[in-house]
Amino acid sequence: MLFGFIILLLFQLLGELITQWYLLPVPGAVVGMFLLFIVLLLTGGPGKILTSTSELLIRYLALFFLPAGVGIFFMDGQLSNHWLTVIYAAVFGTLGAIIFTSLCMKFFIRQKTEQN
Amino acid sequence: MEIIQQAIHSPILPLAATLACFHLGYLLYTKTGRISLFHPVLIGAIPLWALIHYTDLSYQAYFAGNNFLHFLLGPATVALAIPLYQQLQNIRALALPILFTLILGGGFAAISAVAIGWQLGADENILLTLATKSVTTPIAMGLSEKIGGIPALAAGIVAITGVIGAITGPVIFKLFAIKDERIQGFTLGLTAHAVGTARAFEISPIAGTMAGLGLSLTGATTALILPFVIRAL
Repeated sequence: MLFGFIILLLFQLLGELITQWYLLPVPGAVVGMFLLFIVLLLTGGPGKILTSTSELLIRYLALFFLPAGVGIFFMDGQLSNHWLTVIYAAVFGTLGAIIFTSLCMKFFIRQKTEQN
Repeated sequence: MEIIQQAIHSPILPLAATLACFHLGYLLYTKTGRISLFHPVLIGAIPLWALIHYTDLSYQAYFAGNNFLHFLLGPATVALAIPLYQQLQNIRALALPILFTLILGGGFAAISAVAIGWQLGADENILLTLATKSVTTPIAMGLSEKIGGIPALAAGIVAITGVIGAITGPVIFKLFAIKDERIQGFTLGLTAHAVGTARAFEISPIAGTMAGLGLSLTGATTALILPFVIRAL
């Protein structure tokens, strides 16, 4: 458990350093994820400890988001007169994006299976 | 009364409150057969809002007490490499559909929100902020700052997008007969980032992995492309 956590943190640290060196606009954790993925490809996969640690963390992904999520209710007053516009755009934009994206992918997968 | 004051200002309370509210939300969610509207991120946020609103605990103090939990988003993101590796065989066959959907879907997610905001007469910096709505919080905040949006607003919009996406996604899949869990997962990750990914892992491991892939690819490509698009306009 602890060993798996250390590995994840090391890759996150490496990702952070790379984004700072190369001034990448991507968070270090995302770079760290791709680096770990490449290392897994080279070494033939994660061990038991790393697998169980990652399963535990991923199971609580929604929980880790909660403190930041509660912040929606406590935004600065400066933005309050724009809230309705913002919420309207976010909600309907998201609904549209889900419909569009899923139908899009369904179409491309069907195209591909028909080719084969 | 003094003991309540002490409890509110104890460094333990914010973290304990988050865990308790999430746990209660989770119990309600599973007991009701996972009705999307009862997702613990939404249900758990309500008592936490009440705690901050009705006591003199500030949101800043609450968040500071939850720094550790928030910090774990980082290693949890890195951990997505493991299911990605495990599901590699399932994903490799879909490389082209994933690529095309990423470009079209990612573009649509950004453009649709901006178009609706523009229709409603939003200011330019709000429109620029809306463009970052489908990417995960740390990318969205950095990105909106870079392109002339408002980082604090970006965090709020991203949170709304995630929760709305995670709640409505499964309903939309049913309405539009999207049965393929790989499509469900990728769509949730692309449109609703980390919250959508957490939701997708509840559907199945393959849905969750596809969501993790959607989250990271959308985040990375939006971060790389959006600044150039804005400059070109």
